[in-house]
Amino acid sequence: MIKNHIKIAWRNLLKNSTYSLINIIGLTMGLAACLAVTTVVIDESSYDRFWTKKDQIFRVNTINTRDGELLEKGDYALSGTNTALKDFPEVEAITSIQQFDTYFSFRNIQGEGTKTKVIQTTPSFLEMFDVEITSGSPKNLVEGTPNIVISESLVKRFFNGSNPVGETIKDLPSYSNEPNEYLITGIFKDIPENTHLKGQVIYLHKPRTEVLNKKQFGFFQTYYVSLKNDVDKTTFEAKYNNWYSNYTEVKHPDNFELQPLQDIYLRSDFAGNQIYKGSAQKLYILGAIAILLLVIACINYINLTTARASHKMQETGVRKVLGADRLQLISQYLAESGLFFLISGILAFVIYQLSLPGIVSYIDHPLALTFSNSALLFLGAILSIFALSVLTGLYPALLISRINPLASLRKKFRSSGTGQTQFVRKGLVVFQFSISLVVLIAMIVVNQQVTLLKSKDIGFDTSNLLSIKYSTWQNKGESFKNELLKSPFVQNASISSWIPSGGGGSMNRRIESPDKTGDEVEIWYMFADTDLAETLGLEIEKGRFLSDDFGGDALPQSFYIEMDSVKKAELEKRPSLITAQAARLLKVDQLNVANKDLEATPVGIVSNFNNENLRTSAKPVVIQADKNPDRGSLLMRIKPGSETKVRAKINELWQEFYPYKLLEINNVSGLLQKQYEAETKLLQFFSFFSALSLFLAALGVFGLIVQVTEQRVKEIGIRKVLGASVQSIVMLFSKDFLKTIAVALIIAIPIGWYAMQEWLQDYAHRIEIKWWVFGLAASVVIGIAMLTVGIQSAKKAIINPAKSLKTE
Amino acid sequence: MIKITDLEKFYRTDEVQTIAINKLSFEVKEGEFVSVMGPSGCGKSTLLNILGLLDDPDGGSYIFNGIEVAGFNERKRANLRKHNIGFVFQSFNLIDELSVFENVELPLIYTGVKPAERKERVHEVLEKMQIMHRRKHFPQQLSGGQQQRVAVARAVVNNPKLILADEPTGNLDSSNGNEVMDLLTELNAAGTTIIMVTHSEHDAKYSHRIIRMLDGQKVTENILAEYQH
Repeated sequence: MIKNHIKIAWRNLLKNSTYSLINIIGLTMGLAACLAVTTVVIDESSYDRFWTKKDQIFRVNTINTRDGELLEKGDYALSGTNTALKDFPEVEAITSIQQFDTYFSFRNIQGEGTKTKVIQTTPSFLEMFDVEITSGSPKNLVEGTPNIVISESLVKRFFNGSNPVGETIKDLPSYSNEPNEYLITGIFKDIPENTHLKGQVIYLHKPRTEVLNKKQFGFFQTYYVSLKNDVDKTTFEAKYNNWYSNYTEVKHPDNFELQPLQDIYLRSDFAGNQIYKGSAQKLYILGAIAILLLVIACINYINLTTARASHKMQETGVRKVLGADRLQLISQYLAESGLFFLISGILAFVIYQLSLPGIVSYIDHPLALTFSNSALLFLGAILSIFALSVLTGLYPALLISRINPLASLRKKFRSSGTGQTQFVRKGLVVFQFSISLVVLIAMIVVNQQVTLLKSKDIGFDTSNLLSIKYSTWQNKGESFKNELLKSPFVQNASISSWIPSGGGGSMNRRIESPDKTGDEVEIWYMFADTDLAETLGLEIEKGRFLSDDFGGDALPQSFYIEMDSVKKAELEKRPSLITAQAARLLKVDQLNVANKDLEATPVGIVSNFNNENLRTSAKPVVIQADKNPDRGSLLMRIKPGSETKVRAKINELWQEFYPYKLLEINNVSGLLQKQYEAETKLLQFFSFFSALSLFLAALGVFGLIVQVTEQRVKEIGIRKVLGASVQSIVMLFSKDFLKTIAVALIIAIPIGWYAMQEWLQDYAHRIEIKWWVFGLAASVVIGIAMLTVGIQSAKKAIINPAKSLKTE
Repeated sequence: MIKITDLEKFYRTDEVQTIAINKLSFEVKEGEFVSVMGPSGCGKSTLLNILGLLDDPDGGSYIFNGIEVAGFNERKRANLRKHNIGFVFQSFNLIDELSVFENVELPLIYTGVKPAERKERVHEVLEKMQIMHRRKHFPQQLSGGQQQRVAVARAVVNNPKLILADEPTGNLDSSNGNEVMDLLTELNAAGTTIIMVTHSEHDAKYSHRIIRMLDGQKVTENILAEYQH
């Protein structure tokens, strides 16, 4: 019986090639996209689930609340928390973890370095996180040189298979002038990719043993604690918090939260120190989209199959007359849907496999789990596709098998379906188009917003600005800069603690607003040499720029050493530039008057500029100068079109000044654009999803119109005999689809508007959603649908009626 | 074998009720070959559908093989149908996607006959209908006469007690039509009861008895001379 079902399904598939092709393309695209998106969802949710002690390890987060309101939450705790925690019997082990990138010179070649992910931690990390050591005994720290353990893949890459344990390597420093040395004390088996603790090198040091400051003051560190097996996390949290509130002498003691290891990757929006993090919210969106894509594809299958019910009616009637019961008929139609899903599933897997490199490049990190490298996932996908084929095939199967044999033999089955099936079919098309419309609206809005973010005038010219990454200049910064300025292509340069894209400034301060008591104004400070404002290209609105020509504009480095109350009092005399916004908010009317709150004496007011990215609004800024600053980035304004020449010049000078140091030159506009990577990725994603959903919806409409026009070929003939024009016949079919799309528009526009309004709330600088966005989305969808319907119905309408009437 | 008494069937629309069968009564004995004739719309096909258990009467009694079947639900009717009744249609109603062999095999699949036996029985009946050489062909590749022979083969493969033929020669030329009528006669001679709806006086002459209908009622009933006892 099953063989018979499959055989018939296969013949049906070949016989109705257009219908089959539409179904296969639709299902293949839907399944492939769903597999791709699901891969990302599965990979992201698999983070940190492989550690043996995954249920016992927690990160210690600090929560600062005032009157029940959350003020601050951070992925850190005061230094000394480790010492305090160690005394609790519930605690098994504790370690501090810091992650960063270092350029190591594994081959010990001067000036050469490989960017390497480093985990800086204590030896207990190796026990807590069951990192497998394959060579050496790194737990026993060797005094003298910093100890590092390196991954097997690094050994393979740089040491030709020989064992480097005991060898010393250097780094390419970005701060110090001379390279640092490290002793390789062990090798570890590569940590799987799906962890937020990514490390190719583990830098081990002794734990700091300072005592927790009772005044809630000091450095912060990120601590991970493992609790003993039977300890309840909530109870322990309460116990520790209770102990701490008694221990500390402050009025508002911090609270500590133990964040489960498995939650860290996805639920750490607050975590400023954490480099590798995902977003649970993004994952829900992705998951929802994966499901929607599949639903759209399945709707096509259901619609096309039910629309074909009339083709099937005679066959079904005959089968019933010959003794087929409903179950036999249902199983036959399920076999048909099974075959479609099988073919589409195979094709989808091929497409999926081919698109994996694209997915990896999109998410920007390797995938630990895919449907092709995990047998379990593969099996899960096969079973899901099978289940889906049954679910999707069931409605058409139930519908067709329900046909009364008598009516079907008399061909009395209504070609367009019964009222109920028509309603279901139209409802599904409305659903499909609503999704397409919402996504299209989202894409247009995101596109506008990204364009705004990337092109808005932020108060200075972002092009032709280069920067050298933050570094120490070893008292040679000024000379380096002066050498660079000798190049005819470098117009201006400044060593600055802040460069565009580098946050709000070097420090900020809240000053009471002169307008309203109790209100505070947040002011950002930037420290640089005297040339920052001019290098940025800010305009002076009042007063003057800072300049070395005025002796007191730049504070010497020595000023900061042994800062006493006298020196502190002098700070308010410090000549400073303030932005027009700062002047307005702080009511600075007169220049050259010391401002105690600001700890500055404004000598010039410069034009406003956006110190942070455009998600937040521009803040008032104070620019102050240091003499020969020894730390900072070097910002350069260059002549248009001279970037290559300037880069070459910098490289040449760098070799001369800092032969052992890492050099990283960036294009500032590139850095600024990079701030909107998340939005750009979102745009790419919506563009892809929008195109796909529109394609699938159009495919569905195409399939439906093919069926409808075939079924109504006689009607078309009669209408033509009676004098109908081709246009009127095209209109006849288009009208029905237009109504369906109109309903979709009514549903989609408010949803799209609301969703995008919510999304835009995250941006201080945001576009206004104009009516034409909806008009454009509607035009695109109507255009695609009408084009599909128009072409197909016109094709049927130009057939000679003598021929079409004969076919019945 | 068949006894109907005061059989009624109505078709209703929102406003109008049409009587298709009006208090019709007759009997068909086992081994009989009965033709039902009458103008279009007289209720012949409705009658055939009720007799073939495809449709349910609205009133009266229908005794099939000694069992009252009026009021049977679809499942019961289907079960009775697949084991006892074969159908031959004017438009053949072969399934285009299936070969001759597979079309004929279908009723055996639905009655749960094992594959080996199915093959044997299909071959047997195809031989009998002289279309064995066409068993791998699809319906579209056959002439009308051949298609109807396949349809007859499919109707008899389950050895039904009753064959219901609805204008079996309606789509055939006279020579092919005669061939089909000869086939039906042969089957009847072998013991199968046949009820045939036809417009053709020529075809009706192959039967033992002709029931003529008008407006859902029996008008006359003639026993053909050679079958009068």
